Amino acid sequence: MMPVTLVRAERLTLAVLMCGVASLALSDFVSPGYWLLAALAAVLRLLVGPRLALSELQASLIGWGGFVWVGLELAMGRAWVVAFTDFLLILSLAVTIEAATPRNHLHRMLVGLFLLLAAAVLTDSVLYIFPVAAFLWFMWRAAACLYGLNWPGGDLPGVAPGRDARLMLGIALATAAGFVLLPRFDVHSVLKPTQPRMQISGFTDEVQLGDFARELDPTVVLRIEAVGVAPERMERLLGGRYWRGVPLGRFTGSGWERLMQADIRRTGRGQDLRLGSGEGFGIAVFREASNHPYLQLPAGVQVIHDLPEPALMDAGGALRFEQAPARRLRIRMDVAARPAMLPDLAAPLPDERDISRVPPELTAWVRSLAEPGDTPAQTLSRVVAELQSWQYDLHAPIDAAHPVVSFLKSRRGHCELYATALALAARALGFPSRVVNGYYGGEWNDVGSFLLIRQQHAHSWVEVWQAGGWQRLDATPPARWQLSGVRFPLLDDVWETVRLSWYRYVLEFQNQDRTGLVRSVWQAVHDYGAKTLAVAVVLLLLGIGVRMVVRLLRRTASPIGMVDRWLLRHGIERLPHQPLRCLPAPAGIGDAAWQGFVRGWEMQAYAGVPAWSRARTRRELRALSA
Amino acid sequence: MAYDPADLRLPPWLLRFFDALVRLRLPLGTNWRIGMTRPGILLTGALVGIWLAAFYSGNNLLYLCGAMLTALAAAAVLRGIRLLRNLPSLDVFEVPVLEAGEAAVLRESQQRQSDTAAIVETEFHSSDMQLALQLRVEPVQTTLQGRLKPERRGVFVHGHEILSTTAPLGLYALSYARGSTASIVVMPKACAWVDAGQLSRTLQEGDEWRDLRAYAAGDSLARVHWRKATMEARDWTVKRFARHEQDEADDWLCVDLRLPDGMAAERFEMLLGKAWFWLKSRRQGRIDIGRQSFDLAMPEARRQAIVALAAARSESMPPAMGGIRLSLVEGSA
Repeated sequence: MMPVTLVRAERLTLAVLMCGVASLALSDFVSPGYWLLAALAAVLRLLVGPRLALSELQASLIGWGGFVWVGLELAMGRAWVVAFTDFLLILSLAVTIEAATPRNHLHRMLVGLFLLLAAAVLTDSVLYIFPVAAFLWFMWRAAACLYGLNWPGGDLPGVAPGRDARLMLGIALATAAGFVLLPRFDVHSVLKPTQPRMQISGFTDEVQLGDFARELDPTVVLRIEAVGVAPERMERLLGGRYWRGVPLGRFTGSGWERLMQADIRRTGRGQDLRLGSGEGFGIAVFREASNHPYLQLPAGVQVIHDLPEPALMDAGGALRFEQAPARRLRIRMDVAARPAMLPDLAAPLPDERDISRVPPELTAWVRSLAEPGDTPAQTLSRVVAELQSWQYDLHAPIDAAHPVVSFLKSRRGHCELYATALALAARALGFPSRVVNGYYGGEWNDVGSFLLIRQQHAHSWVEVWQAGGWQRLDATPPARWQLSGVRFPLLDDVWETVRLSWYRYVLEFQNQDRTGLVRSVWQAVHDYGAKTLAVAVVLLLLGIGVRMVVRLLRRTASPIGMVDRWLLRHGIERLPHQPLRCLPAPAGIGDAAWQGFVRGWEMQAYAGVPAWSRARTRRELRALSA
Repeated sequence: MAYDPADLRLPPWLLRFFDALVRLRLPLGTNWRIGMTRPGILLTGALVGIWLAAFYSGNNLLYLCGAMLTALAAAAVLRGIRLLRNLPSLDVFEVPVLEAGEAAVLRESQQRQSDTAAIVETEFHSSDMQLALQLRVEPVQTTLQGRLKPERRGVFVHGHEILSTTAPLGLYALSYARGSTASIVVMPKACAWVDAGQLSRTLQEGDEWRDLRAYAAGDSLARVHWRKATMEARDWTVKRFARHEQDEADDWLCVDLRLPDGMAAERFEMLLGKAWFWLKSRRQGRIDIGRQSFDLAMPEARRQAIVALAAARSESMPPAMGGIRLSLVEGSA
């Protein structure tokens, strides 16, 4: 039968380990089977007890087996990061069911810590805070428990959890203070939290019609918050903007290809990219990691500040990072309050005038829409109006061989088809044109006052070269923007607000945010009423004051407090740890009388006789003085 | 403590390095020193690594972990400081009177609330003596424990005490030096009265049982206390009987502290040992130690008599006459 303290130590160290496993399980790189195996072993160990144990040799064999297995995984082409996490979790399985020895306790605590640190690099989930908080609690309790084992005279009993809970609150506050105050150097980003790249189609060099913007996928791709702008103004300013991604200039008959244009500008890490001028407002864009390197730019973007990764901008106005980032990025931009026309972009390339692949049926259809005496521009407007009157249908079948012709017949389809039909119609009318894939609009989050752009906001529109510049035209029926794949909007708003707060105040907290944090707090004070806060502060101070007074009263009103005050009056100051017998007889008090008093005091304090009441203490002191 | 990196079967050179670090003690303000234990070295090493990685990468989750573990380590240190600062002095515990050369096991408890379970090593230093004890601090009681074997007699008033602990987590070793007014009373080794010649008056035989004394050659075997006898004759005790009026005379011991010139100090210690032997067995009566007189019926006076005996020095003046006389001076009986 294992002693109670050892069982307690066994459970606590297991909890430390499981906190590490839970934190790593949050990583999207981890295969669920591996962490489930470790969790299941932990549950069995808890239920069965230390009887369910492998010897150290057997456990180390599991560890080595895991090492070999991971080697095989790597040889089979598995990503190193996935193989690494698999190995860590196999190791945690071995440590979980290893025999409960001092060595095993240390293994668990060290592996638990290592898993927690690995998760700091392999996940950026807001849920990470829970295993971290639990780790802090169990680490403290486990270390205190292990400290108390094997002393001469027996194991030390544990301290009640309530006593440690207040300490944990203090540690949490100190952690927050340390987190905010310590400087950031940001020498290299290799250990930044990573996330698996989202698989998004439509932002590649070649896009087949039907591959893009055809699903109501609520996955968030961009979160945009205002910097120094009131939220309600921000909603008005930022809503209904086009977020420009990839311009696609060559029509292949069944899809579009990006035209290779000379990169006109390379911007290094930490540099600003200026795209326009004028008065604007600041926004911070949180871009999720995805499999494409493009950064969608809002209409009216003027400056991109402090680029987090090197980027290239081509003549077609597409901005892309040198490689697809493997982590979430925060990008600060200045955006014009009123989005003007498209910025100065290069003149059309020959492929953007090409009508060789425009279907004859489409040309005939465009002619049928033209009224006698129409200019090409007027006819193009009629085409737009006609297309917008058609039915928007995400699930309309697409003829892969003749997608445009089938679309003209069915008059149903999604935005790609509308954009393609319009772009080709413009070319048929003699206007150079191209399709642009990006996002439109977005969804305003009322809880957190920020803009969300989801994958369901993916959109295709057209840029037409008119009057010496590129003009944006959108033929998609407005019914498109009534559709949404979000099932529980309110819950989703709350959850997204929590996530953005996590990104904003934890993952992306930088040196400059320290002042921003102070400003935000001040803004909150301003917004939510300085009076309310003042009342709260006054109440807080009052509470602290009352508590101090109660403590002081308790101290001075206690019998020992009365004795201390009496001693002070007689010129003797007693330190808290000094027993009375160490003090000399006070002036004017006989040695024998003082010794008698001390003896009486010690009898009631230590010898188990009834303790002196305040009245009794007062009587004794009065008798002593007499 | 049950988590030592040595359990990880680290290479000996690394453990030696750990031990060199463990021996380091850095000042932490006045009277305070701090060092690390082996697990503390592991944690500190991990903290250094985490902070380097955090500073290098700017990964805020590493900042979070680093700040949390640093706060945990700081909380451990602060709790240790609070524990040592609030520990009661040795005076609070009823330390028994010790005998020179005799080992005594001490275990004294006091009811006392604590938010930390800890073992605190306590060293008491005076000019003549050094004592090492252990305080076992539990949530509801504190126990002073240890094994003491004082080498010589005396009243040792401690100048200062050093409290050391690795509580509450066993990561950092804290030591705190503070003044102490506690005193330890060490009596001479009790010496049975085998040398009846030193007594000024011999006991008059009677029929009332009085006490026991050590066996001396020539004593009647009928008087030997056989139930307490062992194989060794030197351990035997003899029952003594006396008349009532004689008891009254026997309850007054007069210890002459004069040490004749040239006599060995051991004889003086033996004299005091005999007095202590007599004093131990009395709950009432009177003892004169040199020129001082104590009424043993009064607890305070009895305590003072013990302290006076422990601190006794040779004197030149004879004591007042009366009672049983213990003296090293020839013909003073």
